[in-house]
Amino acid sequence: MSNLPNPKEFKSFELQLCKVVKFDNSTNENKKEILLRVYNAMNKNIVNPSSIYNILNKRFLDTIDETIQQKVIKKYLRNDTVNNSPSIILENERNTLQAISIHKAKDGTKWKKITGSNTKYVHYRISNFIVFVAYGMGEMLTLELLGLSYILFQSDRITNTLETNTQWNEEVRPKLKNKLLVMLLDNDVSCLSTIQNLNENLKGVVKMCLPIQMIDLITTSAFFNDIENRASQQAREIWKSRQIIDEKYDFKDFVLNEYNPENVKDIVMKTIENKIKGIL
Amino acid sequence: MIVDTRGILPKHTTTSNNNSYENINELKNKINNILTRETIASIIVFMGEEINRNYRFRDNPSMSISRECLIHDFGSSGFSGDIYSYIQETKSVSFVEAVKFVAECLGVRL
Repeated sequence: MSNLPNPKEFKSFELQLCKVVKFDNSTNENKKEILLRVYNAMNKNIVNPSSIYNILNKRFLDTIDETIQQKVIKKYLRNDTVNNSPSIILENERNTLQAISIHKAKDGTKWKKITGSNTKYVHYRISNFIVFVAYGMGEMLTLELLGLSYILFQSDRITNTLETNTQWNEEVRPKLKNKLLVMLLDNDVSCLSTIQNLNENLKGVVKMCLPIQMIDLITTSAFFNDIENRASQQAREIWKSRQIIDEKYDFKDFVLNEYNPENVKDIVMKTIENKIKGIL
Repeated sequence: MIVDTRGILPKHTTTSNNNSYENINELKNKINNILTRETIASIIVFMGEEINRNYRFRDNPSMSISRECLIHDFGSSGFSGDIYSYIQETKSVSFVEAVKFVAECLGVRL
């Protein structure tokens, strides 16, 4: 065995794997530079607080405390003068820039990501027992303003690859232990597919994954004042079955269309309660 | 015509040789039970190669260690085999020596 090293020395041998060679190192660096450049430029622009009305309407925002609005605007909102649109920036806990999304780009695309954005980044605020899943920037902003805990998927596709998402596995998943995860589902097939992905990934971690569809929120809202439960279960079912909801109707749409926006938080909690009891 | 071949023809593999072949295979099977991708990477790096965190050989990125603990080169050499055949090929040793080397590294005995 003269060509082979002494196997007795293997026990004390410490494995060191070398770094992966990234062949498109320069391309990755350029993308990050672009993102940083755009971020620095946006930071110099004055943010008009009323630009948030482009994303959420005044009726809803009037129900939110002014201090909270200012805090959210300062943290997330920037003014993109190139596209003449508000933008949302996402930074992680260490204040490292992760993504910039333009509300409405010049070409008409909504929530367009700036080159170099980390689209797999899962933004979160987890401080309560109930944690909501936000499926978009508008929903994230709404939940922030309502003071609710959430995790944000910038796109539904992220849930397909959660197992290999380092940030999800190291940062977010451990924080969801024993929480009640409430999925505020958009009214489309792609969003519905995230239910299974999340159920599988969070099995044994969360207390429960509770899917809530927009029709559930709308139904709770319709019977919200029926505190004494005068409307029978059958009547509620019939009412529910007659509702037609647009495809892509999402939580933000519900909030903006809700007749009494100050009740939004209570409607959401009531829906969760009814879902768990099996009433909805 | 019956030819008496006793004492003329060489003695073929005896029972003891058969036993050593079986022993080596038994040793190999014992080793395989504890072999992981990381262990194989450790042995290969211990032998002087460099492997990256994606289990690819640094000097030959088309060569890698698969999850099934096999080594494949999808490039020019086309090598494909387990750790023992890799050691045999690169260090010009026999199969028995390769298995014994891995066993000694990992502290596996019959």
